[in-house]
Amino acid sequence: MHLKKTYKILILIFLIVLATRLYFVFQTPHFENEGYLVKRFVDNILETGNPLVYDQLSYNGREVLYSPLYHYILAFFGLFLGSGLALKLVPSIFISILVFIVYGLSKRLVDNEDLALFIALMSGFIPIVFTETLANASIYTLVIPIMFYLVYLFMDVNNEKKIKKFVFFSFFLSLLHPAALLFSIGLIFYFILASTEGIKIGNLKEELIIFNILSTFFIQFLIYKKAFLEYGLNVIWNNIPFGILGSYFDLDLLSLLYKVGTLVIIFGLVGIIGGIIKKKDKFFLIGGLILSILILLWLRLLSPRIGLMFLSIALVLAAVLALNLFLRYLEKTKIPMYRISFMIIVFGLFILSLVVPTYYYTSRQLNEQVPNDYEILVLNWIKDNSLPDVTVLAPLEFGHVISGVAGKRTVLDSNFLLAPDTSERYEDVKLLYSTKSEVTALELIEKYNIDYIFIPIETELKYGKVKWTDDTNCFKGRFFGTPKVYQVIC
Amino acid sequence: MERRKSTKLFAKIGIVVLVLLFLLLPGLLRENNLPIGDKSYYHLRMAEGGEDSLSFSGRENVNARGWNFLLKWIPLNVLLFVMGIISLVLFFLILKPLSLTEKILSMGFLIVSPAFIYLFNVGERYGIGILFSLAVFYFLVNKKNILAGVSLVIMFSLDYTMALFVLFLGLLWFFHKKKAVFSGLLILFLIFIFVFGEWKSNFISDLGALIGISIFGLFFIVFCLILFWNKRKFLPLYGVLLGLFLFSLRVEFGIFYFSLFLSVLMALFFVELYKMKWESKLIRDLTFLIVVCGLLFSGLSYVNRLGSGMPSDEIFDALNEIPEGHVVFSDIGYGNWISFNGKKNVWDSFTNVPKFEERRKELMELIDSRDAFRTNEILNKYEVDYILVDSRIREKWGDAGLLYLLRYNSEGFRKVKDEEIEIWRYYK
Repeated sequence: MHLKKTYKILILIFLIVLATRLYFVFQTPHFENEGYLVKRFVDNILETGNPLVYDQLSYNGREVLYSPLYHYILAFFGLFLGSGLALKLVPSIFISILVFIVYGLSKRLVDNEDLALFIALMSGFIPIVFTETLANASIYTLVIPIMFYLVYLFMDVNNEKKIKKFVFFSFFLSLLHPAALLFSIGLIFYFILASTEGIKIGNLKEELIIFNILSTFFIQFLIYKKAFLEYGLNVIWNNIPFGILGSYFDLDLLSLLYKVGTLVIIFGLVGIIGGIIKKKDKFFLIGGLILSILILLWLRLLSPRIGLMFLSIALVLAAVLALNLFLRYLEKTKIPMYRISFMIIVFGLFILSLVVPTYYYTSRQLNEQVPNDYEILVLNWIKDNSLPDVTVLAPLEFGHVISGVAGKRTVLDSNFLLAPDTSERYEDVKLLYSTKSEVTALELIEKYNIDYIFIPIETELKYGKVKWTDDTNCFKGRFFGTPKVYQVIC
Repeated sequence: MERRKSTKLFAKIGIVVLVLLFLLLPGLLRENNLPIGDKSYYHLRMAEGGEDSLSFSGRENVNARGWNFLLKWIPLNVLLFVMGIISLVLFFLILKPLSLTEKILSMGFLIVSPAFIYLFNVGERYGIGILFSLAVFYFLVNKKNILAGVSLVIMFSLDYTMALFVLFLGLLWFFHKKKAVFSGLLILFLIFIFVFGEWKSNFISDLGALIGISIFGLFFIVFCLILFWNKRKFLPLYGVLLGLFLFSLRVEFGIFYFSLFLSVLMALFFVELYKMKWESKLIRDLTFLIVVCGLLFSGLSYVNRLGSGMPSDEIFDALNEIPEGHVVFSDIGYGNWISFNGKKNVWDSFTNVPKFEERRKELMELIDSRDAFRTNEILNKYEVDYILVDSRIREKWGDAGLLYLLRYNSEGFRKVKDEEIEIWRYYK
């Protein structure tokens, strides 16, 4: 009976998280820039049954390299729901499932159901996870739950059934996304941490670590063979243009506090230290994962945007030990009658430190990152009133929106892997928006066969007015609001 | 007993299939019948005999002539295939002290290694060098020192540097019981490694190296080294592994010897790992399957890369339009194809010519410079008549230097072929 009640609460938490996500996600009918890339990949599968391997629109036509598993899953749901709805609903369900996994993990870590339920609730409202996986049909909505499910399986693997599950999900995660490497590296750090502390993790776990590392690396090489051949070890930089590479891996500590949650960080770190001091094997696993993410972030091998998502969940899990210790400590003090008041205050602070930033960042993200109705109207006009093979100049942040909504070719977008001359194109696009010289602009317009110039307000604020578009002999103004659109006529 | 016999038979058949696959597949995958790579063209041209008047617009033939001599009498494809088979047989015979499983695994790992695929599919002299190295080792192991000596002498006619290395290995073999001499030789070897040559940064074929080792091979070895680091029986092998690894980072052909040794070590580790007590048989079988699949994938991927490699028919079609005896400037990797086609090149990948560094610097300046005066100066110095450019070169050189001048400075240059492969006439 008691179990039933717990599960009911857990399902309620799941529904609260899902409903909140859906409330935000359906505030706009549009997607963020990256969401349109996913949509095009899914639509292509729905139309042809095959993944898109040569993208005619991106970079004026280029080969694309990715694992299409996630897109096939979305396309499957798209068969019944339509791709637009599937891309909003299904990822929200995927990431909301995380609450069940976090509950299971927390319960294994401290064996306290109430605390596990509270941690599960917290995991649903981590600001960075909530905002980064909201309106972009992000693949991380599936990667994150699966990775932590693997952690869950690995923690108590003791029979053939669990081994088979671990094997299956290891393969699944590797096929889904290269982030699977993060889990493998986490396991390596777990092994090192445990060895240094003299903890025997057991032969079976060692075998599973070996298997996971080998299978993950093998599958990544299989899928990304071409990228490895092309870039060698530099593949970790993902062919990111030099112009943004410097800032791409920058970690802002203040935003880290807001986006992960101050109390989550404090309690999480206390939990890890406590776990290591108490030599708790299960905390070494979470500690290994946290350590691997921190080291990769520190070495600038992992984008903070992605690393912090995994880190925040791992910290929430680690926080369970600190909270458990805190509760036990309260029980031992002379003021047990104040225990409930203390708990309410601490938990209230936790909720505040997560829910408030989540609400703030989500609203801001929806306002700033999702194109507004007018921008979509303009792009639909371009779609309907221009030849099929025209090229539209747009800043990097609008690349997928142009190809996704207007269905036109672009000079560059954020899908850098195997894209041609990303650094050169990035600099050229920057030059086009910032130059005062019409000759320079025309030279670049000819170089990339540009037919339309798309100038969003953000670009004008950044570079000032694009002066060379004043030449009416060469550029015909089509839209003059925000955004501005000019057609090249000379 | 019956089952064991049939397993052994299957393993042997598997090796035969594997060797046929990896020796024939690159050729079958090619869209043309042209030999792979560029260096074989030099040997094929020199097989005709006479002085070298085309390479670097004429130079002394300083390379050992044994390989050229063989190419004069036997077709390249046949020669490579036969050499591959004989090398494998010798390799098998050298591994006499090992068990049959270890021997078969060693052979399997060697066949799928990028080094083996390169050696016996690309017509460089290293293939025959390795064959005779194996012959020397085989005779030494079987105490047939005279035959080993004869093989070594033949090696000197194929490649001096490889022969010297094998001579050094032979000395190590002879003096391995005399500690002082043995240590002295090893110290000499280490000094050589750290003093001569340049460190190679990329030695993994899956990460783009032309001649390298498989990433999975390396991964497996590193993993096993961690696992068996304290196994006494492997300790001397770790020393050899380290020495050969360092050597392969310094010397081009070192990677072939490293790969030979790596194959044996991998087989030993593979058997050791299999004998270990595993908690889960499923995990054990899957792990071994992944290792084998990884090595196979690496090899096949390399085969595909070699098969689709340069040169193409179009290069020679374009070169045919240039009159014989003229000087053609192109990328360094195209030099041997230019001279094979009867034209003089400005540079090629056999860089053992006097003042090569000076020439390299000037030609790199030519490629990168937009200064028309300096460009003319360099082109005149090397008496260039034609410039050949294709899409690969355009991508490699970028359009900031010489290609910019070709595009915008019509004075002095005229495009005589305007297709995928462009040829420009330079008027001095």
